[in-house]
Amino acid sequence: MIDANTLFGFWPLRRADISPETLVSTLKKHKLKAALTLSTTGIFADFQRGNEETLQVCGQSNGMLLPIGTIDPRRYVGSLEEIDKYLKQGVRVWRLFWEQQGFDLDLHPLTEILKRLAERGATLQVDATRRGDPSRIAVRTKPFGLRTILLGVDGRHVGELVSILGEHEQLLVETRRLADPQVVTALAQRFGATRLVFGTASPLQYVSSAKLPLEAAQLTDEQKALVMGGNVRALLAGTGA
Amino acid sequence: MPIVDSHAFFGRPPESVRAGTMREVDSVLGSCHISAAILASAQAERGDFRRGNEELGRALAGYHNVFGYVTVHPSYPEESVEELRRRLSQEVWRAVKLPRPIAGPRIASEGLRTILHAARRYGRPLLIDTESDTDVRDVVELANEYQSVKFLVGGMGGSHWETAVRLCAQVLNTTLEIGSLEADQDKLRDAVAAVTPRRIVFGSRFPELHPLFVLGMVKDAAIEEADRQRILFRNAMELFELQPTAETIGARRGEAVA
Repeated sequence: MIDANTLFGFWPLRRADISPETLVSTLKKHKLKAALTLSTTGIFADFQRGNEETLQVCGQSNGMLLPIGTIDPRRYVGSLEEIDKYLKQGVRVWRLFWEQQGFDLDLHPLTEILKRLAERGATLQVDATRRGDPSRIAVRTKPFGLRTILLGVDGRHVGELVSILGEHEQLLVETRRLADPQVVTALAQRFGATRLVFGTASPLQYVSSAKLPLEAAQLTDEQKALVMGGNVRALLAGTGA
Repeated sequence: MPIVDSHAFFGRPPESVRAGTMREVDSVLGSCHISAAILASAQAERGDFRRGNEELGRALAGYHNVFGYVTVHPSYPEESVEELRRRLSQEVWRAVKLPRPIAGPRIASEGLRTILHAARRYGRPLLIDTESDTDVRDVVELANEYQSVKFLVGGMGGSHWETAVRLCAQVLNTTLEIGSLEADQDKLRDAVAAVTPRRIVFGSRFPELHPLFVLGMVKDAAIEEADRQRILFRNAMELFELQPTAETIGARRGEAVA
């Protein structure tokens, strides 16, 4: 299993131990083979320093931790160069933090960033926790055909997902907060298991809350293998949906 | 380990793809080894609370190990007091509930105080849904005001669970109900440390959420096994005055569930 959503570093919003050591021990405890991850320095302080930390920690993990890059569109200056620099080093998944950094999706610098990521065949991760977020992100990423993983989508917003996933083939959905095996099953049957990825937000959040509903979903072994890691592997190899 | 679900729904929440029928409650909660449940009416959450209570009462009739919350509405205090009088003398109704969507801008309202005056005589716990820091503070204010009433802090304040943990620590007539989408690591460990394992209960919020999502939090929590048992079973048995039975959830007296 590959966890598509983890982080490490210091968490300023509440007291939490999310050190690299805690992340690795959590992954091992739950028998997760690998995880996409990034340093929280890139969210709250400095994206360039954060990306350096991410690469450093991942480089010391014997392949267990796989880097996610991030950029802060509020600074913008240097963002496109940062994307190119780390793409050359194999960073194929990038994450934006619009909630934490307080920028709107119609911020103009974002257009250039999304375009660059799409041109380079990267995958975007972005939080879509509130009602309407998936719709806004769908519209924003469609012109570039940018493959995008919606993180933290609330299972109560499944109607919105059903409405957009058919039209917006660039979108994938993290299963963590779908919170119901039936919702996972229904989305996989309707749109294909290639559109779902397993993520946990560990070590900030409990792994089993994300894992148990997914394990109970009525999916074939092949479908489960895709959701639990196959889709992420394909994205990293540049052959994803 | 037996499990009591302290907070699930009968009926379809507006956004849910599930129907919330008794058959579905029976099947899903049963598959998660839940042996008893206290249900609130989904209809009463946002619509006509008396009709919701009535429909829930009919659905529960004759079922083993499935009980009900009487939903009250602070904009209709007299009608709510009448609902308490009509229902709380019956065994099947084990608690009172104030849903957040109908609670008004502030939970600590005059309408709710009128209901609380009346609720004191029945000795049943009151669950109030909480979604914000202000909600939690209001519930704690009311708990201090009405010390003979046991208050269940529904959803533990959502993303403001740290406030719930901190403020409820010293208010002994509060109990935290853990069901929410906030699966923050440390949430249960911190709650156990602050309010003690005796004042925390498991609620699935099915069909809004799924029991496995909330059970995942309890499974992963860095707490003692005995504390886990308290949260999943013993506390609810005591709070709702349930009797242990060998029967599974939903089995209708004298007949198999179709």
